[in-house]
Amino acid sequence: MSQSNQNSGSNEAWGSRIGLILAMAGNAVGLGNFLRFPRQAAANGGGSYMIAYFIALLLLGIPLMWIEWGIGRNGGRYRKGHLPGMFAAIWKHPAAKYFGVVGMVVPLGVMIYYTYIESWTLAFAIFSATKDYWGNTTQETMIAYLRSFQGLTPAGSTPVHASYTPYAFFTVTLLINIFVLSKGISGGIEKLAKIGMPILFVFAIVLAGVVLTLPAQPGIGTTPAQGLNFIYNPDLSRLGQPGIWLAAAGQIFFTLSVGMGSLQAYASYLTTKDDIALNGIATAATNETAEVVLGGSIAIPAAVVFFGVAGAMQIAQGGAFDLGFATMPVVFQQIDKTLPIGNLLGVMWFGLLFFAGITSSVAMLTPVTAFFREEFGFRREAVAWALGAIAFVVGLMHVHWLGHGFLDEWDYWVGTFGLVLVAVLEVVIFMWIMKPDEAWKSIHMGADIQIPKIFKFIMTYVTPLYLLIILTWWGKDEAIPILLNRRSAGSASPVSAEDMPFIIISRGILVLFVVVFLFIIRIAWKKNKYDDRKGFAEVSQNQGGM
Amino acid sequence: MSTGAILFMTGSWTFVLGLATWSFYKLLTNDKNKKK
Repeated sequence: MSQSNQNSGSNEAWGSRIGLILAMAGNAVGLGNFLRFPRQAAANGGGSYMIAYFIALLLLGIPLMWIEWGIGRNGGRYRKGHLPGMFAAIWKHPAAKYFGVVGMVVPLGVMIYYTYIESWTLAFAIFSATKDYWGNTTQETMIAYLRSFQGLTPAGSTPVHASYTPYAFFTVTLLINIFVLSKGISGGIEKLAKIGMPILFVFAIVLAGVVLTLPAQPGIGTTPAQGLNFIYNPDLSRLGQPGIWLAAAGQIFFTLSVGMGSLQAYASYLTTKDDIALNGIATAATNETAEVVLGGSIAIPAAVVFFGVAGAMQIAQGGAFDLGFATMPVVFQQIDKTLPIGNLLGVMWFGLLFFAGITSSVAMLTPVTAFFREEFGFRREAVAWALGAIAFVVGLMHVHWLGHGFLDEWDYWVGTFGLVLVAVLEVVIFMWIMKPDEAWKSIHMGADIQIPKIFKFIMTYVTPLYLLIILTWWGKDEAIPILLNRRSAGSASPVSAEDMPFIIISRGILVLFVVVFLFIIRIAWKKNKYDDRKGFAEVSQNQGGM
Repeated sequence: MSTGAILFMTGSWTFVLGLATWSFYKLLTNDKNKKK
């Protein structure tokens, strides 16, 4: 191996194993655990959805978890914390690095709009502390309050918030993200996870405890148990509907943060002496505890207690954000009438969502940061703030054009379709190009457990087949109709003439991201004189790890 | 709650909490981890 050690790279490492697991779990535990999961379970046949969900966890989620840890740690052997380098390290072909572009565009794209949504949680935590939304005691008035905050007050109505409010909260949230990122793996991300994750779990346990012990309300009469019944009651007839299986698979992707490039980037700071088999399953288990046990025990049971089963069903159909940002504030105000801690519960609810969000969003910038540090030798702080500037400019478009489907477009192409695309590529490259035996051996280097051998078969054949079915189905049912503007990304209705220019700009920026990153990857390979057919030189394993 | 819902909830929680307990028990009792 004649080349490749010319990059200045980064010598970052995790401070401790628990720090690594908390950061990995923080990456996985996000808004989807507490908002998307309960809403999806309730809307997709309850217990039947859970069957599809656990099958997707076993056949997609956990295998992809191990594959991504494996790809990441293997990339770390050559100091590659980004997918172009990780793919090229396995597949000695000139095209490999270019396929890795999806692992740059997807996390950066998701991070930008995700940080914007995260900023709502920070805003509503403060609004809860100051009782700003107090008095909006119905679902309708709280939705109007939320729309006002988002700058979507209908013409003729008076907004509650100043027009700069969402921009200010987005800016502050982005600054916090970039600050953490600029402090590095051990000094920023690991510290955040060590503080944020315990707080998140404490808040979630307290909230679940309060909600599950709520008495039936006069005039409504439903109990939290009926809320749990709403989520878990099996409607087995729906198991024959492909929609349930696709929804469950999508949730598994979203909740475990697979297909994002961030798990791989985190794992690249490990050495072959470090375990990834047990760490991977511990991370998945932590995420599932937050999702199934805690996420399922807060929003939907609370909605059922105060709105009844029919009301909660209607709320669930309205989407995860109305459930979290409109229904829950009404619930806290109702609780406050008998237990005067409603605003504290609000702070805890939106606080836990904020910590769930930020531990995920900082992870999403890690692959791109690693790329510029490792390939161009840029300083961590400089890369973080430069990426922050890009995220700020594009993020402002998301804030400004939220009502025109700008965010929905990105949420579909990078946050849904893009994740599956990344997963397909990495399964093919890791399991088929590296070969199953090598991949299996790679995952077991330094392993503290022996993974049941059935998973080798699942990773080699079942996971890729499952992914291809999802990709084909989504392509036919969603991607092509959305691309041809027969329907919009956010709803089944076609894109209106008024929204069309914003959709075109939205897609144009994504295409620009892809083209620019392809170009930068090419420059990096030329600059560092990498030989695609020979691969990279291995770096000393003493420089990473825990 | 219906019997079906109780069964599904118990099964889901047992699986998830069991997996979490087992994996963290293995982590905490691991020799490699103890040395650190």
